[in-house]
Amino acid sequence: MKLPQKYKWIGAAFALGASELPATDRSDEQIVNADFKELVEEMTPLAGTNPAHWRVVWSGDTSTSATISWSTAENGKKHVVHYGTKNVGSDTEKYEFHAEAPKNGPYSITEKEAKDTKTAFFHHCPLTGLTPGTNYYFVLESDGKFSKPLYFKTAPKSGDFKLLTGGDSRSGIASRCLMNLRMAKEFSEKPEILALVHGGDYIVSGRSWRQWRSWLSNHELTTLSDGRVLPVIPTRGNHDGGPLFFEIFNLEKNRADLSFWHSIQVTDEVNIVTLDTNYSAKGAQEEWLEKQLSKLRPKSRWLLTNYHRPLYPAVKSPAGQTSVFVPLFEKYNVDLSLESDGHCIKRTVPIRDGKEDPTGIVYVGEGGLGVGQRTPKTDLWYLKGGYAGRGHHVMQLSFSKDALEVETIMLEGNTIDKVTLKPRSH
Amino acid sequence: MNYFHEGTAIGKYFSYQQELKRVNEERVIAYSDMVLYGDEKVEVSEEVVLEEVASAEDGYAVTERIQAWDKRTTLVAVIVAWLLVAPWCQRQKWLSLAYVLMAFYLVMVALFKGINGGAKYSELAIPAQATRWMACVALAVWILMRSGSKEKRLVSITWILVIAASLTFATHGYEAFMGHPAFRDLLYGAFESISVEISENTVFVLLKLIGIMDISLALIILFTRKKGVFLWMAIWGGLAALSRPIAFGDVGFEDALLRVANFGIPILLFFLTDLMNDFKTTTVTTYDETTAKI
Repeated sequence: MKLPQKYKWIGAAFALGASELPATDRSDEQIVNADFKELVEEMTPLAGTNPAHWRVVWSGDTSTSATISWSTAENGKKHVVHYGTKNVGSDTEKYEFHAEAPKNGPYSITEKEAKDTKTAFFHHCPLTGLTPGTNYYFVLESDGKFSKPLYFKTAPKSGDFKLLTGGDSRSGIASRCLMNLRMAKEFSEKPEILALVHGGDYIVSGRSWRQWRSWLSNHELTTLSDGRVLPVIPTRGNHDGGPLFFEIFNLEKNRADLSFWHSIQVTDEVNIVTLDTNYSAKGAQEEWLEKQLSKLRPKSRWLLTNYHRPLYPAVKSPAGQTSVFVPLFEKYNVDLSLESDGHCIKRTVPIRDGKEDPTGIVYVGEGGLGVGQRTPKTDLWYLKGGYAGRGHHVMQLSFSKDALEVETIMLEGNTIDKVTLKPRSH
Repeated sequence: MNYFHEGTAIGKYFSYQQELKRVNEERVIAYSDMVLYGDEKVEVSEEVVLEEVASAEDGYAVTERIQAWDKRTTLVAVIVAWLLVAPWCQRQKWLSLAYVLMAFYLVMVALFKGINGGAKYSELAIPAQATRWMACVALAVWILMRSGSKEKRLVSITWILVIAASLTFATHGYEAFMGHPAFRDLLYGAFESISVEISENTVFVLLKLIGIMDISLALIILFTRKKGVFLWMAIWGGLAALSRPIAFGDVGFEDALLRVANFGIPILLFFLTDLMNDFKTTTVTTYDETTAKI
């Protein structure tokens, strides 16, 4: 019997986890040619108090803390994370810890959207005192409805590991889903990948709940078939204005005007300073940045910065923050800068004092997690000898004691560019 | 040159729409909204088949064609704008249409900037850029009214320019009052250039004051024509435009150039006020003389 189209989603709700082809078991060819309808059926429908939109958010010390978040269509009364270091599957009573989510509430919705769309409810459970380099297994519970068993791995205190990085998943939703499959495939084949550093512009209009809910559902595709969740290190893009960004990632805004910058200690030797290119560069952000860089540089083997609008762009004009950020990056010898916004692939030569210099900073990125790509200006001096191109892609950062490798991995699975950085005298 | 490479907001909008169409965005959203969120308002037929995404290279080719047209249009607009300055053009009534088209083009650029979003206060681009597009309206009216009375012509032009300056100053005033992040950096940069350090609180207070001043100026010129006010607006508009290269270096020159009308229109109003006053004086004298004769 065929269900009328408007009730079809109910059927999909019961098909949770029943997909024949989990994301990570696809070949490269199957990823590129994946059917969108099948992918949608792999996502969790937002209905009742069924936990959906699960995500792990990293900010601060990623080896000992994380926030587990999820959404429900209805408010519900009791929202619990059952977690522990032992894989006990769906048997929630066997988990070592049971933490009730302390932060719950409705996602903000505009009056215009509220006319034909219901908002949903966020649930955030920050976990602290975690053991570094350890798998944490968990099940989400909202009023007696459970998620499938999931887990994530905390960052180690030291040692080799990888991160994925990329930005601009704001439109091209089918391509966004395919890129999520690509990331899941990389994640499953390389267990040393710890998290995704997102460069911002998740969606087109930051105040649109309809767009955010779609991003959140699509993000589930990065979860591996064994339940491993790819944590997100968020950055705010120019399209991510409004309060939803903070409600999605459980982040504390720096000030009342929704500015956001934060520092992430991935391991004892790797730090990422995330900046806000929507905010004034000078003043509070400049002071904070200088303090962070001066504090982190001496103890970091690898010091990275991450922000949305490029300082050495391949498509647009440089961000207004360039004259403030670049001198500080150079003063404190940042190793690598992650940028988004241009919708292309970019790697600059090492830059110092406005010219190529082997001791300079390499700027990579520009965003290809689904958004339509643009043509970069290949004749720019800082791209000659670097790389400029276009196509959906994600970058993989491989950290080790002696090298930081930056690889650009295309949707199709091939590596299109690779560069190895040596640590500064450390 | 950066603006020329990036293209206008119009080009960006149509490139983006083409991208969305190419990847079947509307149907993709409708389908997932129905399956995942039970949206009853979304109507998607049972037989919906998501079209295959056209090859990326085909898509790039279309995007590049749109961008090429956008650049050509910009180039033509810039050339026409310069040609129209020639005195011969000022005498051709039919050329007022070119100014109207130019004004329409600039309004569209501002409108699409708002639609594209992604920049703070981009939705206010039409009033914020009123000095640019209304200058073209003023020139069209100037040519059209060539054969009419000089007084009417001057009054009309003055009003158009006053409204343009008022809209731009009021919008920028509102943005300053709200603490626009880019304005904060401009203030920091300006003070830094004279080796004065200011705190963030001072910047916010100054922006509030600037906001109040701009909005007040925008209102004052609607009710009175004082040369001093226009002169101050010209100086302030010029300083605000110049603060871009001062704060951001070379990249700010293009921004300053784009804002030349923010200085140009108040200075024009400054001289027009003199002309209007001269005109009034002449008219009054003539009237008095006539009365005396009677």
